Amino acid sequence: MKVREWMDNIIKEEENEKFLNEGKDFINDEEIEELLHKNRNPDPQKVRDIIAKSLSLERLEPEETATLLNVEDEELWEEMYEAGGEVKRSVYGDRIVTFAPLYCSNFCVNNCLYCGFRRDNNLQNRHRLTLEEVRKETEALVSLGHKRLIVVYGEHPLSDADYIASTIKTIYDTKVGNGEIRRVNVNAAPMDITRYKILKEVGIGTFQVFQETYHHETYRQLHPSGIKSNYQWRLYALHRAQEAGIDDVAIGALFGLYDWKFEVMGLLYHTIDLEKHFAGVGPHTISFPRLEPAVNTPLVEETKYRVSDRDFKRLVTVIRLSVPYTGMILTAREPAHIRRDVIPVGCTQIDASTRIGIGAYSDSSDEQKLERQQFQIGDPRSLDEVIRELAEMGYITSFCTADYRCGRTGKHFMDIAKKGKIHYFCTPNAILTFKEYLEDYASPQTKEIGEKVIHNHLSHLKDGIKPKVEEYLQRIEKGERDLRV
Amino acid sequence: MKETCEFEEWLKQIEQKVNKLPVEEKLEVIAEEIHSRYGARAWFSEILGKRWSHIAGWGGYDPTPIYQVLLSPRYGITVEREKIPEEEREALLNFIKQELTG
Repeated sequence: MKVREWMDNIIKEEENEKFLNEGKDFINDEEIEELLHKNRNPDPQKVRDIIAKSLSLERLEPEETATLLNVEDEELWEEMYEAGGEVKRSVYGDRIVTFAPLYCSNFCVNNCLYCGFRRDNNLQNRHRLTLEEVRKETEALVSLGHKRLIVVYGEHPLSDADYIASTIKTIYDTKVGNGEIRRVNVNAAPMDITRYKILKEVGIGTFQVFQETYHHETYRQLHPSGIKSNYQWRLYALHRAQEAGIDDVAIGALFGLYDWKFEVMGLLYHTIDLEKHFAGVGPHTISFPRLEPAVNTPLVEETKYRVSDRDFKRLVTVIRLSVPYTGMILTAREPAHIRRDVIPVGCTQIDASTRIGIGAYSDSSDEQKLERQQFQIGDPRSLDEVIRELAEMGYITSFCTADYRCGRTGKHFMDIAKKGKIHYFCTPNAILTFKEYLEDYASPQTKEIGEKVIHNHLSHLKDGIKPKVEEYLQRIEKGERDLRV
Repeated sequence: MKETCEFEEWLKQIEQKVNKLPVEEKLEVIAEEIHSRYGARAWFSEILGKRWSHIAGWGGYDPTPIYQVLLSPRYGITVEREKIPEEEREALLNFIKQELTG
């Protein structure tokens, strides 16, 4: 099928209709600007009341989030940073889930002005991994100790739903010694319900689509052609995914394309609309990547909406406080020192040993090759180094995939998370999967500090589950794997 | 003997209750019945490769040793098996399997 013909058959507007309100979507630009304007110079007591609401794990309303976004007082921000960390701990405990991205194809029909993969970028070397190459990449990732991946694809007939499904099957079928990938999340272009069902069948983890910018006019300017130029097709991508039966979905915005405060509001409205239509099931995770340099992509240097490090920490904090029960992903786009500073305000997941060039994991060179990458990464450290640092910070690294493999998905998962009780499951499973890592992959230094972290977390487990976890730890030492609660 | 009859009677009652219900509602009723009879949490999933996607029942807020049992190539149950008397486990699972295929 020719590319043009393929493109003409992607968008099915009728699948969005039931979610629209008289043809309008849930992002009302004027209303957001008005809320941000109206809530300037907030009263400190009002801010503290909102923080208290977050600490009780209630999702905030747009006016409350707009209020937090307008705080200028540095002392109040310090209180919010503290509260963000507390919210995260009370929902998820001290565990940080770790994963790696695997880029499978950089062919793309779209022309997003900020993206290295855009169609008209002639300096990008295009490649689609063969299934044999996918297997080699997976082997390299498994050999590092990874158990969770996010697979990434450009939007193109060469990487359609059938190709994506084949790559995921290949990944799940690849084993190296004790290791295997147990959860594959997907970052791919929005699809129609029929195509989502193809992905559902192969057992994906979370399906992730970033709106990039929620601001209609900015979106229009930055996406001049291709399927992605249709704002609403993208905005309702995860509504359709849920309609197709994919019950763990993930949202995100690319910060630096428009005003960061507006984008945070957009993420909140997106959460609210998903919860409204799907019995309280909003995003499983929220991501907040910042725009990074990409080959032959001048817009990145020219944007007037670049987010400073200070504002980045603030926006992460406000997202945490606005949607207390949702996972939050801080990627290796950010350099190590920023990750160190921002993880404590409420992040739940990070990637490590990240390579984003197509085929980069099985390439022996450590150098980033921008002509094969979507952007430049900021934290290229190894998984072992990242895990060791997390342990020094008191966090336990988790490779847990238990929830989605025993039916704690969608509403079932969200009901537990909203009550702040998912950490009862997260911590034991973090301990068990971390122990596997220490046994199979860790350096001696990481193993030493890792065992201390396990001992510390074990002592905080509830009596009902502690003996079982201790038994499982012994069984892992004897060679058993994949034990979970 | 009396206990066996009572167990079979219970299964019959469930059978009548769930008769003609769609799969998900049927499994919801069965999960509730298991919980009310044994105090065992049970929930059902659609099996999609490695993924067990929740469709009915409730697992509660506390982790506990759980067991996953395949009911068919498409469906599975996650259950606190220890709370179900050994002599009733197999018959119960067979009953659920039959409800899914029947």
